[in-house]
Amino acid sequence: MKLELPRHNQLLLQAITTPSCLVQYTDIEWELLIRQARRVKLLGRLTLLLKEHHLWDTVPPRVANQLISGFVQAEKLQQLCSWELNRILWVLEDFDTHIIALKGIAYKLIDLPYAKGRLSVDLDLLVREADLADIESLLMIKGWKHRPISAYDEHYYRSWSHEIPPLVHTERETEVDIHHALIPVTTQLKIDTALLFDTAIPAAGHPKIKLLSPVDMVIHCAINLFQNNEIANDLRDLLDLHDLMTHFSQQDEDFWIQLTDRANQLKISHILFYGLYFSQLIFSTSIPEKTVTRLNSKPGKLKHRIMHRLVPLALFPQHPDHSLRSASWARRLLYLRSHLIRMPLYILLPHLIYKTIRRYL
Amino acid sequence: MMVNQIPFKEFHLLLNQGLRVAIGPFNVCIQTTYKPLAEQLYQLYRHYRTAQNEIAEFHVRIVTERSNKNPFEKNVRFLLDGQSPFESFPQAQALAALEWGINLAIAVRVSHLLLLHSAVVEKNNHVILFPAWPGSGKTTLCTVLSYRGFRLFSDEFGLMDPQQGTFYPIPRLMPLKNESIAVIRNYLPEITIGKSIPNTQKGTVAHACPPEESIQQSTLTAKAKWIFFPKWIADSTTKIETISDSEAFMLLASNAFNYEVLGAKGFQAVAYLIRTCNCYKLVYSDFEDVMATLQRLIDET
Amino acid sequence: MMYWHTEHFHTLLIEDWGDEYTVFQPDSGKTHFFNQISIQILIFLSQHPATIEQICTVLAKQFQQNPDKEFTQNIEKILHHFETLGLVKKRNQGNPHDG
Repeated sequence: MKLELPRHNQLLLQAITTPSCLVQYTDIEWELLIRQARRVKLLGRLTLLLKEHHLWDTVPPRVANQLISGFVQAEKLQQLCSWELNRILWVLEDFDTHIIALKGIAYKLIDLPYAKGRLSVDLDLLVREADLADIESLLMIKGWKHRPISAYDEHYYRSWSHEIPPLVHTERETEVDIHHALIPVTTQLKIDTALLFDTAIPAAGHPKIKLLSPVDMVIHCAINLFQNNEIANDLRDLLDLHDLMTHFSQQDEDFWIQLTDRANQLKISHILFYGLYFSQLIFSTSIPEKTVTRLNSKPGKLKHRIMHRLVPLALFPQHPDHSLRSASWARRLLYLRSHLIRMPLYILLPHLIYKTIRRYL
Repeated sequence: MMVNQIPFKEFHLLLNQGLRVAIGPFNVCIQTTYKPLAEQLYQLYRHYRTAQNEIAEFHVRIVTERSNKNPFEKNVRFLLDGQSPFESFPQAQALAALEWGINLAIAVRVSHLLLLHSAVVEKNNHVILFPAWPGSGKTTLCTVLSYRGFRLFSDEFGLMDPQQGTFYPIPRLMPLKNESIAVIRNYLPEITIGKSIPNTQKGTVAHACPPEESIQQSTLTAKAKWIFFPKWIADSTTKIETISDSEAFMLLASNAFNYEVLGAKGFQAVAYLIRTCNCYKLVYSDFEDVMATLQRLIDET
Repeated sequence: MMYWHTEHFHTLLIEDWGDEYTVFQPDSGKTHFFNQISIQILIFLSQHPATIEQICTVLAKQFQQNPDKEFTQNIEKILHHFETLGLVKKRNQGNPHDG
């Protein structure tokens, strides 16, 4: 199956995959590119790509200023996340345990290429379930507070989610999301967090911090995209997946075998399938042919065809001036899908009704 | 091409498709089909240059929609790149919504420059900053100064290039609020002010046009030499008081929109300003009096 | 023994305004406003780790003050404030030059 994208999305994809083509972009194309890149948090990435390919001097000044602005903001948010982690480690200094750093901060700690330009708003951490209550109360003693949330949301987090309500220190703004699992507890899938800690690797220079093993990091990224989230405007996250797989497969020739083995072991191969499929379809990730065949379970043909149609329409940003109806529908369907796979119907229906009512109150 | 060189019909058509105007260092693409707004803009934006064939940094729209509360009433909504950062506004507030929206877009997006929250004017090639929070009367003071021998940079944004130390003019409509509308209509009867818009979040607002020359010269940058932290107090005589460098630093940094976003660059830029500028606290009420005081200070150095 | 030491002191940007100081801390992204005593504590600790007694002795001499209980308490207060800002850390150990 081929990838079919509207013209404006092609401008964005080309810029990321083949930056050399940017020298031919007209002012109108540059403008449309920047507006989309901002929407999907890729201004920092574009800045790095243009500099890496020695194209910075060819960028129209009005575009360059917007790219720099995007990069500066990404840098600032990363600094805030790193500092938040620093302060958390300070509080937990005498608490004997390990914490796994997830997502943006982890990509920074492993020096993933282009991590410098990545916009990460929140700090995501994974802790052992047994440590959760202690860590939460230690942080709250030292000034972290839960954002005021409704009783319903509190219940949602505590009973159904895989994280506690976000914590924010009273003197700062960075939101800390503390997870005790990678998947919401209402989902049929289960991944034992202890298994992740067993294979986690130390982070250089941070004795208390661990990182998911390379294969688990990839799997977590795929789970977030195709299991936990609604996919709308998540192009950056698929690019994360492409970056991670490219990076790790260059470091370890057995990476693909380890990846599929782990996905089979954790019983999430149908989720990894989508990760592999869309990363290759959109970013031409070089994945050995045999990799997909090693997966124990794959989505059926019809499901696959439907996802092939819907996912790119949702991942890529809408045209900022006139949105496509097909893309709006794709987003609505994927939103519904994301909830259906996360919650049984007896929880889901009241949940969606509550969210809909709240929106109109 | 200036807006006032275009017939209204054509202007209205451009607005339907997206009118691009140069506002200081930025181009803003404004799109609306709401005719009353087109009429207001045609009057108030008449000295601005159009930039139809240039890249625009900001793409904003004012769209009309049915009111949620009253199905027979229409509201307007501000959109930035198709996203809506505010609730909707009553139709009569379309211009205020547009102007606030553009300010918001500048404040949240621009990070290649230091953004001070400040009125800014220029005299003898030196920039004078009046950093202050809303309610300090900086827009009113700025309107008076810009029509009495000072060149207007902005009533709201001090846009500083952190490397060069220079300021960019960004003359925009000046939103006069409540009592100051009548004050300015009395004091400067010759200037163009849009019609009063009552019942906005900030009370009644009326937009004063920047002087034509200030808009024409809005590509000429300059460095700052004076910083006044202004405070309007009824019936007080004009008082200026020097303040310590450390206090000036704190006041200036805490009043910038993006000081912390710029990190070390922001710190160095503010330190540079404090080292190179004379910093004062300014209390005033009478325009003649405050202008005489400013003039005296400027002549002394 | 409890030793205090600075964290990444060399990364700080310090503007000296005569009697007062503005300090930018890249790690936190925060700007701090300090007086003479505060900045001297940081400078002293940046040279080598020190106990609260050592800090008080040196600073009392420098500022010609009596290193009495009140003085020590004030210094302690500043140190704990610095600790929450991530400017200094305390370490419990025998030899201050380890690590």
